[in-house]
Amino acid sequence: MPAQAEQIAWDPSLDHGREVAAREGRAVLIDFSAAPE
Amino acid sequence: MDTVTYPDSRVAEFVERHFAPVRLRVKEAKGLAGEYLVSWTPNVVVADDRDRVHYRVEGYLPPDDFIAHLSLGAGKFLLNREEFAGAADRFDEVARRHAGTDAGAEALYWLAVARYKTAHDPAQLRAGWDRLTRAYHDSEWARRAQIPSKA
Repeated sequence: MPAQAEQIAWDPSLDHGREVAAREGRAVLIDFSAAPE
Repeated sequence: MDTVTYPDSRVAEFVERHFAPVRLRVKEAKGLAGEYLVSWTPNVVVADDRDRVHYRVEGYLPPDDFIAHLSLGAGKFLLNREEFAGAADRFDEVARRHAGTDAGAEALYWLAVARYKTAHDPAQLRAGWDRLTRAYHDSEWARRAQIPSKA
């Protein structure tokens, strides 16, 4: 599998993340970051 | 986290398989950071679609440790949803793959709970916690599994 396919597809919208989580029966993983490293 | 842990393909694969991943910058999402009690970063929260927090990882962790804690978080999420078999699978995997670590001890604690909740059999809890105590007798999780006897 190409390396790019293994990057995390972070969603910038918590509302959308919640919708995906509800639809797929998953938890939301929220990464709170200070700033781009 | 962006330098070592998140670029690790095992971390990325685990996150994509088990979670809906959301990234928020605290300076741009001060309200949400406050609601989720984020006073320090890195701060990774396992929550549900109703904003209930099931697990939290604070501070930097290297890939192996981070995966172990994410798996514990996924297990706690399932346990709280009363999906006990799925929760037991997550905890069992952490116990096997991360044996000898703090996460491995925590996994054995919750594995016993998940199996107890499945079978409603106190013997399952006792057996699981006995296993924890034998394998990690000096750990805090082993102490948490001790049920004080009356004097």
